[in-house]
Parts: sequence; C-alpha cells; structure tokens
Amino acid sequence: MIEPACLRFLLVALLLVVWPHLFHLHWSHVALFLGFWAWRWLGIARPRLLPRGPWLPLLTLAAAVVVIVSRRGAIDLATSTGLFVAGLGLKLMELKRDRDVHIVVLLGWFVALTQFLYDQSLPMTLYAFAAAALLTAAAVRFEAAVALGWRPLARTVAGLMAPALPLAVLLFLFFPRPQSGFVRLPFDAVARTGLADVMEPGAVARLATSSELAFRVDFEDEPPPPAQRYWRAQVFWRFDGRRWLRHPAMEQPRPRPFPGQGRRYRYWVTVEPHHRRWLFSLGVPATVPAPARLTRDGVLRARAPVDERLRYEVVSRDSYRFPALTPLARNLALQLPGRPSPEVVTLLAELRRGADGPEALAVAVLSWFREQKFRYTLHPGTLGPRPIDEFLFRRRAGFCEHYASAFVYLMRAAGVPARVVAGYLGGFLNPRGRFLEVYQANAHAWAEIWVEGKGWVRVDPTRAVAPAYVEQVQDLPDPVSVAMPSPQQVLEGREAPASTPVRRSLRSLAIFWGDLEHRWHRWVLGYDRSVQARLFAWLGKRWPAVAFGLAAVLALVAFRRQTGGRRDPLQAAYEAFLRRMRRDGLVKAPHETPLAFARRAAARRPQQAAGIRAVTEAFLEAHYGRGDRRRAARRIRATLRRW
Amino acid sequence: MDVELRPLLATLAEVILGKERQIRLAVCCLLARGHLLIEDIPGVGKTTLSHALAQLLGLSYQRVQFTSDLLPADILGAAIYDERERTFRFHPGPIFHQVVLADEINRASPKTQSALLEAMEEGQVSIEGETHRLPQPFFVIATQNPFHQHGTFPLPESQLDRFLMCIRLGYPDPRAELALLRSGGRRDGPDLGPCTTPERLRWWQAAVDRVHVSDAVLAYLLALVRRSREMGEFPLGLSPRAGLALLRAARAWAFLHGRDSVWPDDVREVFAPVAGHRLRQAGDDGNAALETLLESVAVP
Repeated sequence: MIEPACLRFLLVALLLVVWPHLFHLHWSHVALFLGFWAWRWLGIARPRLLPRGPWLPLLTLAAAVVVIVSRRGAIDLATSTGLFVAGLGLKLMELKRDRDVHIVVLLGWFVALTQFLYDQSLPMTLYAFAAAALLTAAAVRFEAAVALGWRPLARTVAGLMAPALPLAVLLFLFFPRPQSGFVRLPFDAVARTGLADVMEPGAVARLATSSELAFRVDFEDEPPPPAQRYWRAQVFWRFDGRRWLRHPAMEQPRPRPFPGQGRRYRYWVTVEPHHRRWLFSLGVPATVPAPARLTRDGVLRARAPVDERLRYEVVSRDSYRFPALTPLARNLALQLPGRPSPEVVTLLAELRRGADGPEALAVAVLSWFREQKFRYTLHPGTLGPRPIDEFLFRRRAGFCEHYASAFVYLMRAAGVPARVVAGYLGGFLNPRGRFLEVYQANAHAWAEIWVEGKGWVRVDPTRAVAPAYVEQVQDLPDPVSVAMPSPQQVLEGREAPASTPVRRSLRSLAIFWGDLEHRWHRWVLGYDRSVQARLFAWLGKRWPAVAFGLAAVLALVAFRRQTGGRRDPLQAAYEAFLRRMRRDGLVKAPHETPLAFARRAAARRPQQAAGIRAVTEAFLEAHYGRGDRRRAARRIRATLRRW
Repeated sequence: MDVELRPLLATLAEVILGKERQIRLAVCCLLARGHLLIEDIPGVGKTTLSHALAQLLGLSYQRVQFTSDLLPADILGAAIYDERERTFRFHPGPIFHQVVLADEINRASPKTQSALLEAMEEGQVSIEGETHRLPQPFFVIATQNPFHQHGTFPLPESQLDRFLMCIRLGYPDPRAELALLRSGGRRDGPDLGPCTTPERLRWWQAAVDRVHVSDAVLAYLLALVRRSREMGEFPLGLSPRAGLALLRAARAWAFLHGRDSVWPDDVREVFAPVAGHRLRQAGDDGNAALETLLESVAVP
C-alpha cells in the first residue's frame, strides 16, 4: 500500500517531467498520458475506480494502437516518444508495490532525458534538472521511514545527485560524438522568422518588430564602429518590377576570397538555426569558414541548411580589391524589368546635371530623397502595378527595402551597375560578454554600386531618409526584449521610456541572461567532434598525468569521507585536537568524557593546561550546549594554531 | 556551581561533615523533584541531613518512624467523626509536610509502604472519596537498613523505582569524624535559619526543566540505558522510566553546577545513584558492574 501523500507528490513530479513533451507530441499521445494521469489521481481517493485484471492488457493494446495509428505507422522520434509517454501513463495504472514506484521513477528520469532530443537550450536544461530532482525527491519520500521536512529532503536529494555530476562532466567530455548533434532533430517545415529567399516589399518590414535572436558575434578585439556593422547575407541581382531575386550564376562558388586591405576584424558568429543556407559576415568576408563557401557576389553560403546552431570564424577587412566586373555581372547589375518611365528619365536627367561619376550621382539621389521629404514607415500600404514609379513620385513613404530597391533601380537606369544587399544592421553590444547580439528586428536592406577603380561601394539610402532610426538600430541601447522602440517613435524623436528601476533591472536581467545563454551555446552546445578531437589531441601525451590527477582527487575524496571529512566542522576540529594530544602520548578513551579527558591531560601537561581548557570549553559549549558550532570550530582551530 | 545555591550547600556541609558529594546529590534530587532513598546504617546523619535541608529551605518537616505495626492511616491521615459538628473531618497525617523523613521504611508492612509510595508518586491522597493535595514542594527522604534483618520487608523493584536516587552516606572520614567528636555532636546542630524560600526552590525546579539537552547527550543516555539491558550483568535492564529519571537528574546536576546545558559528565555523575538501586546493585560509588557499564559506552 502506497501512502497517498507520497503518491500525489510522485504524480505531480511526473506531470512536471512530462510537461515539456506535451507541446511537441501529437495531441492524442498527450491526451493518453493526461487521461491515465487523471485516472490515477482520482484512484488515490477511490481505489475501486482503477482498472484491474484483463483491463490492463486491453488498455495497453488500445494505447499502442492509438499512438501508432495517429502517427500513421511512421517509426520516428515522435512515435517512440509518444509510445514512451503513453507507456509511462499506463504504468501509473498498476502503481501498487514499491517495485512499481521504482520503475515509474526510472521511466520518469528517462523521459526527462528524452526532452533533450527536442530542446537543448539552457532554460530547458535547468528545467530538466529541476524535474529530475523533484522525481528523486519523490523516490526519497517513498524510501524514507518517516515524513521528511523540506530541508532534509532537499539535502538528501542534493546528496544523491551531486555525485552524479563529475560523472556527467566526464561523459560529456569523453563520450564519442556523432557527426552532428546527438540525433537529427525533426523540425517543422514552417521555418522560423528570418530573411526570405526573395525580397519583396514588406519582407523586411515583417521582421522589424520581431525580438527573436538572429545571431551573436564575438570579436577578437574591439567591435567595429556602429556605422560599419552591416551584416551581409544575400545579394539580389534580378528585378522583376516588384521582387528582387538572386542569380544562380552569381551564387557559384568563388575559389579564393577577395584580397582585402585596411583594418582587420576577426570574429566568431553563432547563428541561430534558420533552416536556410545563408550565413552572415561583416561586410565582405576575407576568409571562408569551413562549413561555408563564398559566392561570387561575396556572401557566405552554408554547405547544408542551418538546422542547428552553427558557430564559425570569419575575418573581414575594411576594404577590398575587387576584380573587374565580368560582362555577365555588368549585364546583371544593369538589368531592368522594362524601359524606365518618362518621369524617371526626366528625374535622372535632372539629377545627373550636377553629378560627375557614379558616387556623385548616388549623393544626388540621396539628397533628392531628402529634399522631397520621403518618409520612413513600416506601413507604406501596398503599391500598384508600377511600384517603383508609384513609390518615387506619389507615395514617397516606405521601409528600407523600398529605398534600396528604388535607389538601385535609379542607379541602373542611369547606367551605374548596382545591386541590392540584404542582411542585418547593427545589434546590441552585450556589456557583460562584449559580444554583439543581432535580432531579427535588425534586418535591413541596402545597396551596393560599382565604382570603377573602387569596386563595390556600399550605399544605404535609408540612412539619408531616416538617419535617427539607422543610428538607433546600428547600436541598440537596450536588448530588444526589453524595449525596441518602433521606428515611428524614433523618427518622431519621442523620448525613450523613462528609466524606471523595473526597466533597469529588466535590462540587466536580459543582459545577464543573454550572456549566460551565449556561454551555454559556446561551451556546452558548441562542444562538438572537432572540439573533442582537440581535447583528445591535447590529452594525447598528458593522459597519464591527467588520469593520475583524477585518481588522486577521487582517492582524496574517498579518504576524507572515511576520516570524517564530511562530519561537522566542530567534530573535525575536536578530532584535530585529539590527534595533537595523541602525538603527545595522551589518548582519549572512547568512554571518557571530554571534560574528564581535559582534566587528565591538563594534569599530565600542566604547561598546556590553558590551551586544553580553552579547546574543551569551546567544544563542550557548542557540542552539548547551545553555542554556535562553526564559531567554536574556528576557535578550536585558532587555539591549535597557537599551540 | 550555581551562585544562588552556594550558601545552601555551604551550610549543609557545615552540618554534615565530609559528605559534600552526598549533600549535592540530595539537593540535586530535590531540584529534580525526585525522592531520595538513603540506604545506610543508623547514626550516620540521615536525620540531620533531612532536617537541615528542610530548615534551610524554609520547608515544613516531619519525621515518621516506620514500624511493623504502622498503618497507612498513620501516615496519610484519617477522617474522624467530629462530635460537635456531627461530620467526618479529615485529619491530615504526617505526610502533609513538605519534607518527610520516612525512617527505616523497610520495617513497615508492604501495605503501608505502598500507601506512602503511591502518595509520593501521585502527589495527592484520596481518603473516603475525597482527594487531598500534598503540599508543594514535596520531598520524601526514606531510609532503609541495608542488612536484611528479621521482620523487615525489602522494597520491591517497582517501589524502588519511585525513588529518583539511592545514596549511601557511609562513615565519615577520620578527619571529619574527629571534627564531629570535637564539636561534641550537638544533636540539634546550629540553629539554622532558612537561607532561601519555597518559592525560590520552585523557581529552581522550573529552571531545571529548561536546561538544554543536546542530541549528543540524549544519544549517550540512550546508549547507557540500552547497554544496561544487553550486558547480561544485571537481572533487569534500565526501564524507560529509569532513562527519564536519569535525564532529570542529569539536568538538575548541570543546573547545580551553574550550567544551562547537560554534559556527559553530568550523566556519569548521577548514573550510579540513579541507576544503582534500579539495577539491584548497591547504591553509590565503587560499584564494579556500573563502572564496567560506563566504560563500555562511548561518549558521543
């Protein structure tokens, strides 16, 4: 017979263990488990409700059929987890003897482990630990002869789980790693928010309010100045009048990176999985990381879709020497969806008048944007059949992709090779970890024009229209989760929300958490085959020393346990005193009281009587009286030092 | 030593020469609200001790000489018909005093003995359906002759258990005896004025209950009690009640020495007087079996 209070505790612990699974399992599997769970809960008060006899195998069969049919017979992770969770629910039905409890607790531990197949983030890891601890507490409560208070219970659980920690660390370090990740994680085809494959009006604006993280960057030295923080990901060449598309020829790999010059930035990018192939670099990359290749238009492409968090090292330079434009590239960079409208032609003729060369023309276009009071807005409304003309001459309000698109169109119409670049701008520099956090809200689009003798030159038309907004975004004052001012607010020059204590603590919490998460990704999740191989290589010659050191530590721990290292400090201090006396030839008999021993010892060693008395008094006061044990232990140690 | 108790003990030591430990044990027994059995030959100062104790504490005192024809009513009192008021009136017996010396208790018949011991245990006397409370504090000192003579009824174990301690006074040492002889053995002793009040005594008794006992000491005490049952040296081990008695006595002993927590030494000091008579071993001191028991239990 199992005590109801213990049983309820176990059931609650199990529910919490299974909880994370409830969000990604098939609804019927969830219903199975919750149904069994509720059944068992009701059965605590009314045991007659519980199934018995032939009902149990029937239920088992039914549950298995439900799981397999709902998955249409697919043998995959979801099915196995579903079977497992449903089985755990079934086992609750026959929770009668101690052995059943042990099995359920073991199954619960395993379920807590399986959650890592779906999510290995830091919060989930902490949750899994807490759930496992709770389950252990439930097991302890069953085993304990008397009801334990919370504190002894917590102490017992900690004592049981702590020895597992070194083993877990060793296994983490030395267990052979599969090629990538633990298992291939199934992910929903619905990708997370992020850059799209094509750029059409509204594609970037959709991201502007997303506080989701895109990637983090650690710099070797100081991060680049805010105005330089353009993270290139995509280059668009073809324009069909509405959408910008990439060009397959330009996606061909380029064997060598472009030769760069000027200041050098070495950095490590940790990309959140986005299930596409693009990677990010500060401007054009000067090196190509292993998991990527460089395209002809100077962006990094991953060799496989980024389904897991990916970390790579890149170097970027201030400027590059680009090879001369190939005829194909020139054609692509001048491509237009049709003949420019008369309005555009007139405008360009006017702008060209004072401008000499492509750069001067770019400046003229930007100042025209400014003079004509173009507005920056996230909600420009949909454009008609001729979006460029409508935007340039009537609507005159748009988001960064409108400006990049219109600017490149005008440059191309004026005969200057130009292309649209999409990626991210700026980010938040985490002051604790000195790394840059780039969010989806940092998504941005800008332009690059070809200048003979200089190569591709970056022009950001949005900067001309909404300088305040760009400055804000390229060096965010707060993590986005705390407060992302909407572009409207920034443009209207509205004051940032007042700095209240709550906001300040939220801010430091977000910064702290971001740092912690980043470290987790870097040191724990980033520990892959290659890092392990490096560790093995490092251990190569040193392993005897390391093994010896570990053995020594273990032996020391075992020795301390045996000799009472785990006993309380007062006993330990008093035993130190007794050892000292033993060296002087005075041995305390087990049946001798401390006071009697002190009298005997003081009589034999009159010159040490004061010390003996001091030690004994401190011990008696604290061990048998109400004195503070730790303080007494310190006093004894101090006396022994002065011996 | 507790400062307030010092004058009391000092005066007692002047009255009974050379018996400081016994005096302390007697006071300890009183503080622990227990009763004292003194097992000794006549003429070593039992009466003097009990009388002096009562006087110094300002308590009422009565001595009852037990004889074989003593009846329960002679101790407890009786309801006697009052001619004038035409009702029965209760005449309290000698037991209605705060300190009662029951001299040579083993001379009385078991019936009388058990009447006394029942009253000691319950702190009240019931006669003719009426209950009369005994005075507080209430302290019985009983004496018995260790040598089994004709016409004596030795107390059974169950009755012995009612006494918290059993001590022996023993002969005084030569120096003390010389001093005694020199003083001429003034039987009534110096005129002792009370050096404290009954209220104070009750306050002390309450303070004894508050003396701290650590888990370590409890474990030690328990180990002693259990060992006494396992050793095989004694016909009967110590009962749980004996354990409680030991605890109370140790608390009082610690209080007597001015401490607010019990040390293992306190348990050891009171062990022989508390456990000796319960283990059917002769009273205090110099008992080899008790010594073996103490030496076979480690002090935690």
